[in-house]
Amino acid sequence: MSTIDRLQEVFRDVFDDDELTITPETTADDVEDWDSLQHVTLVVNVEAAFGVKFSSLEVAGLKNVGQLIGLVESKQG
Amino acid sequence: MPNRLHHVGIVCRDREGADELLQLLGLEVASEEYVEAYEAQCLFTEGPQGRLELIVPTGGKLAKFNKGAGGLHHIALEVDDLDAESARLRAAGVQLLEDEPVDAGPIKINFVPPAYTRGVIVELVAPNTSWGDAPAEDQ
Repeated sequence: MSTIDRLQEVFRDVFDDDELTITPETTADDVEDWDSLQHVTLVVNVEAAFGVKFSSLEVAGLKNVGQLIGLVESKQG
Repeated sequence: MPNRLHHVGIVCRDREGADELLQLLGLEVASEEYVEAYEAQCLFTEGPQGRLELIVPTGGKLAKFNKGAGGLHHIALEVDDLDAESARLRAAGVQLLEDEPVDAGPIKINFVPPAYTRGVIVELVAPNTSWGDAPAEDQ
């Protein structure tokens, strides 16, 4: 399974939306309920799903799904 | 550096909800202020138990907090010099919520977004030295 496909599963679970579709360009403005607190919940779930850990500055600096994919893959590499 | 806890902020759905919570806890409002920047009436309790801020949104993002249900929102830490503390945090890579501190009556405030704290919204508070300078009819 690709990183974005696995991420999409996490997004659907966190935002409780089975129809949610993400792309590398997706931002918080595109997803209902993706606010600053839900961002932390999302990150914790991404960390658990991929077995990685992010720093607080990395968490705060994420601007879109593409950057999240890049961060996950850099941690796995 | 923050030197003490200033208050704990709780978002209430409406004034009735705030009054019910105050009654339940046996607390009274000591002061209140409408903060236009956040579209909220802010009620402060005082006492030996510490200070609570009950936030009653009139619109905006706070009205949607916790999907509109309200609840525990932030902790506020008092600093002597908000500009100096903001500079210290920015030098550490933290992007504060506001570029400039927000006037909230007798205090000036800014926020550390929860992404930096793993889920805790931290408000920084300092005395607003210019508060009270306005003509009496404007206060």
